[in-house]
Amino acid sequence: MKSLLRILLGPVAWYAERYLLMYLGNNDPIYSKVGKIGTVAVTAANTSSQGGGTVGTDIFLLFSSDTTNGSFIREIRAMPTASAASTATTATVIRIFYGTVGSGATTSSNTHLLAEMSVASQTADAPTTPVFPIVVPLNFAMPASSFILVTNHAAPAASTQWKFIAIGGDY
Amino acid sequence: MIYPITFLNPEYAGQTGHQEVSDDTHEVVAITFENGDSVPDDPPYSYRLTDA
Repeated sequence: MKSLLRILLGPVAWYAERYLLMYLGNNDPIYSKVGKIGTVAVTAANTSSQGGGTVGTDIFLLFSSDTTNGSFIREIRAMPTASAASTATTATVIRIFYGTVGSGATTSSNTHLLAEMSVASQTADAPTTPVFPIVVPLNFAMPASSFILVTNHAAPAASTQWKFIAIGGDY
Repeated sequence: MIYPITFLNPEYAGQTGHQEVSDDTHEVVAITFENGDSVPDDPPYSYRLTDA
């Protein structure tokens, strides 16, 4: 009897499922298609936490999502670096912004503070002591044509800079 | 340590000043214009170290 019901109702259930899925944007897990790494060095100070600035001058483009399908971003790592051995970096705050503008001028209406991290002074490029990274897990899907930008509140000390690396993938 | 800086934001674009960093903590303790005046927090400003 149970088998007979399955045979009779099977197509109905199948069509009902198709019908319901028509109204869902996506019913499958989504994985990134190809890895994507974004990198940038922060070389100037920006004392605003509201996202205003000029890309490449005082707010720096770290990661651009895929223009068609968007991207997944797993984490951002900030590493203190120096071109002269054993140089102390300036203690400051690093800021990570999510925005929809990746060039020219950014404003508080299109660039939004995502995270702030305190970065203490570290001795970069030391012969025997490694620096430690500042890691900010993000783990979210970025819409197509959106951007991650970063700033430092204080200007890096001479011969030093914070290098940012974003780790993710394009859908 | 005092570093020469150049302001980048439109309000102070082209002006120079100094970033003073504590030798102990390496925190920025003062940002001043060339004449020694403190830079107000409003408007927010941006700057880079002036190349030596």
